[in-house]
Amino acid sequence: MERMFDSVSAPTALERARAALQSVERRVGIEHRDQVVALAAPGPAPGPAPLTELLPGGDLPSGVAVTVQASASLMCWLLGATQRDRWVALVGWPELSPVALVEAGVDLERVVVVPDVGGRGAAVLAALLDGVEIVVAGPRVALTASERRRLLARARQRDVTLVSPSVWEGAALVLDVGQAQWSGPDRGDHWLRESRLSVVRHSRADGAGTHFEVARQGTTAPTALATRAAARRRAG
Amino acid sequence: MTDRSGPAPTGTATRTACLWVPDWPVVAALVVAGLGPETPAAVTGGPGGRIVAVSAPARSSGVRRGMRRREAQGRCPDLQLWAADDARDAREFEPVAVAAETVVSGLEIARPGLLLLPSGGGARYHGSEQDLARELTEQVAVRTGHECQVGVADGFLAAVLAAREDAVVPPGASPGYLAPRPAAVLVHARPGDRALTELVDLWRRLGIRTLAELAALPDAAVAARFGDLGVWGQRLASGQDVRPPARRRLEEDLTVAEELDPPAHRVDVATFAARRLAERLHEDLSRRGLACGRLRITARAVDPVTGEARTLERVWRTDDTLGGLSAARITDRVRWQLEGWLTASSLGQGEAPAPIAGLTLAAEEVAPAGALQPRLWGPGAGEDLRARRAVERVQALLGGDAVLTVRLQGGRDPRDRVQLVPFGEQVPPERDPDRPWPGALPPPAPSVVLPEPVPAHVLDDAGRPVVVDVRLGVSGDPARVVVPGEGAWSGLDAAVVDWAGPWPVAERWWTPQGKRRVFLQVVADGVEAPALGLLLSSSAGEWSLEALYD
Repeated sequence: MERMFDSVSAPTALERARAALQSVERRVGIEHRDQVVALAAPGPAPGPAPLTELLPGGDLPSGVAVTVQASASLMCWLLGATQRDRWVALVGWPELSPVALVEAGVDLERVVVVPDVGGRGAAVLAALLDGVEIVVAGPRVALTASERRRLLARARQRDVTLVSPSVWEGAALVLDVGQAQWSGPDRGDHWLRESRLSVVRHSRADGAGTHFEVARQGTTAPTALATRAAARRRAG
Repeated sequence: MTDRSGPAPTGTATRTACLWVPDWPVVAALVVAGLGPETPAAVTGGPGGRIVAVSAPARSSGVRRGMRRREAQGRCPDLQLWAADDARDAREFEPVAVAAETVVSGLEIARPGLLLLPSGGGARYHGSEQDLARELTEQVAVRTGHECQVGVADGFLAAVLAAREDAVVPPGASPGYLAPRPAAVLVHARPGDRALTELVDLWRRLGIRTLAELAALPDAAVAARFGDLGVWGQRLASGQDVRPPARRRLEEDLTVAEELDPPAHRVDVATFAARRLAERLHEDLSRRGLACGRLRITARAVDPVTGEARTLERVWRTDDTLGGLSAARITDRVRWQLEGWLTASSLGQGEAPAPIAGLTLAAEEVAPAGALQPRLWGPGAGEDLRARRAVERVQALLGGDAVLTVRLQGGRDPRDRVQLVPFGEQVPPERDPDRPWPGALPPPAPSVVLPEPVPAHVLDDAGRPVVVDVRLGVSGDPARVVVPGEGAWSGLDAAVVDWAGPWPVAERWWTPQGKRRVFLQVVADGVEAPALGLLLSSSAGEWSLEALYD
């Protein structure tokens, strides 16, 4: 929706009227109209873009749960691309390599690690949500469904991003890595240098999901490329 | 200082008053024994149990330092003897320091029996240095009953020697006061130091008999020949201070305690007491204008069934001060800690939480408030306070060691390159990350590093294990990777698409803990992941899965 206003340089009277109509529609809850597609930008610019292209607003949304499934590498890269001055807590995920975090650009000075929550995952996460801006709840934190709901509510209240590598019911943004392809060794001549992840993004704006191709060469900044139209609509 | 009139010696020397209680170890022992100063007494210590301190009546009977116990008893049959006890000396000296503090604030205990204090301000306040000395002697005599002597001079050594003579050396006259004295008087600045005694003896044999002769030696020659101790002696002999005197007295820890009767079972009951304690501690600190670097919380838990008492203790760093610890923040911390203690899990498996019968708060590393300067930018700035408090909260839940900060250090594999440090602790890196570390794995690093390597099999086309020999010859191209067993990472059976290596890494081979490993990177075609990167290592013919690129 925001993209519409960015791309249209000098809105005509008709477009302005449509925009006004649309904002009214949005306020009253009507979401699906074909006009939106007509007005939207013609897909993202071709060519790879920074990794933050993967995120709807170019940044990790706060006050919600985000899941980055099936790739610890993508988790590292996303944290590196979006940490800036924020604190990150890694809870119950001792396998996540700090070396990979640093290579992704994470400032370890503002990372706290709680490798083992000792069965008190909910209490630990709740305490961290009070003060840390990005809380990663790793696979070793056992939570019941009701605890997840309460933690999500708390994250919403404190405007904190709750990140999980596995399914989190009610997550506002789901990045699901379908395929991870590592390459580069060339039968012993080189080493693992390149990675390509095909990522499906699910969020409220994505409908059935937007497909991206995330690529990284060596330790350069990873890039994201939308492989199908960004603003696909649900049928009907 | 400003009132110094004579030519200043090279370097600095502060106008210093020195308060000396003669024969302190004996005096302290007599106090503990409840005997008067007229008793002939001595303290023995050191190798062979020789006499190290003698009281005045015993000295008049001919007992001297360094005598054997039997010889001393022979000269003075009713001699009382005690073994040396540093703790006793220090403990009993505290009242003397307190008495001196009523006259001058900010003093330094050089050792039990010897106090140093700045004389400038005190002398101006009391009229003159003689008045200051008289006032000090009087207060110590009135408040503790001990006889003491006070000397005032420029610099440490001159002041110590002046105190032995109960003299005031005029400003600027200290070098002249020191010059004719034998070099052996240096021992008074550092009694009981065998190395110093030997050095002084060496100087005497070399012909350096007086402090003036010692001071006249070239600095570099002294440093080269006699080391640090020689430099120290020479600087003192020329009337300088070895270090700027630490006028900021290290304050004692402040402690507040309360018994809880009946013992508190619930957090809110204990917190109620904790709040009172916190307010008392905070009031104590602010009344004295102090801030503390650490807060020690001690609780005495009593088992309800057996009555067995147990002490729980936790130290909190309070270096994130913004305006210091308020009573509310102290209460918060104590409450979090009590929550941690009064809920079962932190007390051991399956144990019922024990009610808390006593609570003690101690402010440690006490320093004048305002000496702590929070950083303006970067981590540690004000905006991080919220995060730090959240982390403290988790530390209260799980214990201080459960929350870690991560740092990179030198090393070759991704596990070695990580140093985990409990949050808030300062630990130097074990290995310098800026060294080259030849043979380190090339970046990018694997994203998942298994906590422990998992045994694996690497097979070639014919299904034989791949073996890497001493000359790094590989018996066959890797074709399959199998991770047996039932662990979290096992069950993998994948065809090898591509591979890199083997890279040999021989670490610390010159020690018994040496490791020789060969690393192999593999792109495996798994069922769910078509091209997953694996890092394998081989040591003594056994392969193990180290890390994953996913």
